[in-house]
Amino acid sequence: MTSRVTAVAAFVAAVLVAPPALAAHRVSGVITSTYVMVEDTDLIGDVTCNVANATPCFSFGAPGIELRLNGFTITGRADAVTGCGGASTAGEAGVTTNNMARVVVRGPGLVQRFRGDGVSVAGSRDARIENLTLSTNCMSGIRVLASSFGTLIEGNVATRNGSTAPGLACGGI
Amino acid sequence: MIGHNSRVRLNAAQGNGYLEPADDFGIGLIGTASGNLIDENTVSGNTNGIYIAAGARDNEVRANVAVGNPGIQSANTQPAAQAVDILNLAPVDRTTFERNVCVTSVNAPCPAVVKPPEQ
Repeated sequence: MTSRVTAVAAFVAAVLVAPPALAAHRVSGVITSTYVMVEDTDLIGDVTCNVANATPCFSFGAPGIELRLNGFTITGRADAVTGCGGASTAGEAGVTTNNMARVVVRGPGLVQRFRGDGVSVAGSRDARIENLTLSTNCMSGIRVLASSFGTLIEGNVATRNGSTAPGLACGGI
Repeated sequence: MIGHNSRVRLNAAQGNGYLEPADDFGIGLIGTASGNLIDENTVSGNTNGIYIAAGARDNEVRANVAVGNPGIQSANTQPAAQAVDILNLAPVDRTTFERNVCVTSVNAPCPAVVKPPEQ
C-alpha cells in the first residue's frame, strides 16, 4: 500500500514539474525593435515595423524554426506607392535568416514596403521561403546572399521590388 | 540571388525593377551564384525577366515562362534601355537552358515559333 501511494505521488509530482510543451510565439501589432525569434513564431495579426534605420524587422535567433505569416501582412517604412523612389536602405529587411540553418518563412502572407529586401537569406543552409507575396520593397523581394547554400524558394509572388542604385542589381528574387 | 545550390521554383515575378540602370530583374543570378536550379517560374513585366550575371556559373534555367520583359510602355518611354526576357552575361557554356518560353534574349535560346501545318 505504501509503495503504491509513493508511486502515485511520484507520478503526480512528475506531471506537475514537467515543462509544458513548447508553444509557438504569437505576434501582431507594432514592432519598434528587431524581433528575434528563438522558437516557432506565428503572426496572429498584421505587423507594422517601426524599427531603427537599417535594422531588420524579424530575425531568426535559432536554427530549425519557422515564421508563419498565416495570411497576415508585415509592413515596413517605405511609401505605399513609390517604395523608396529608387533609393534603398541596406539591412532594413522584413525578415533575415541571420546565419541560422534550416529556418522557414512560410506564407501565405504579404511582406511589403521595406527599404531593404523583403526577405534576406543570409549565411544560412537549407532555408525555405514559401508561399509569400513580396511587394514594393526597395531592394529585392527575396535576396539570397553568397553566404547561403541549399535554399528552396517556392510558390512566392514578387512584384514592384527594385532599386535604381548603380551596381545594385535587384528585383523580384 | 547570389547563393549556391539553391532551387527557385513555381514562383511568379511580375513588375519588378527600374529601367535606369537596366540591371534589375524578375529573377536574377547575380555575383558568383552557382549550382542553382531556376525552374517552372512565371516572369513577366519586369525590367529584365531572368538575369544571369557575368560571374554566375553552373546554373540551370529550365521550363520557365519569361515573356513581356520589359512591358511595352517601359520599352517605349525608355528606348535606350536594353532589357530582354532572358539576359545571359555569363559565358554561354556556363548556364544550361532547357524548355524555357521567351521572346527576346541575349545568349540564351528562345524557342522558334513554328507555324502549324497548312490544312
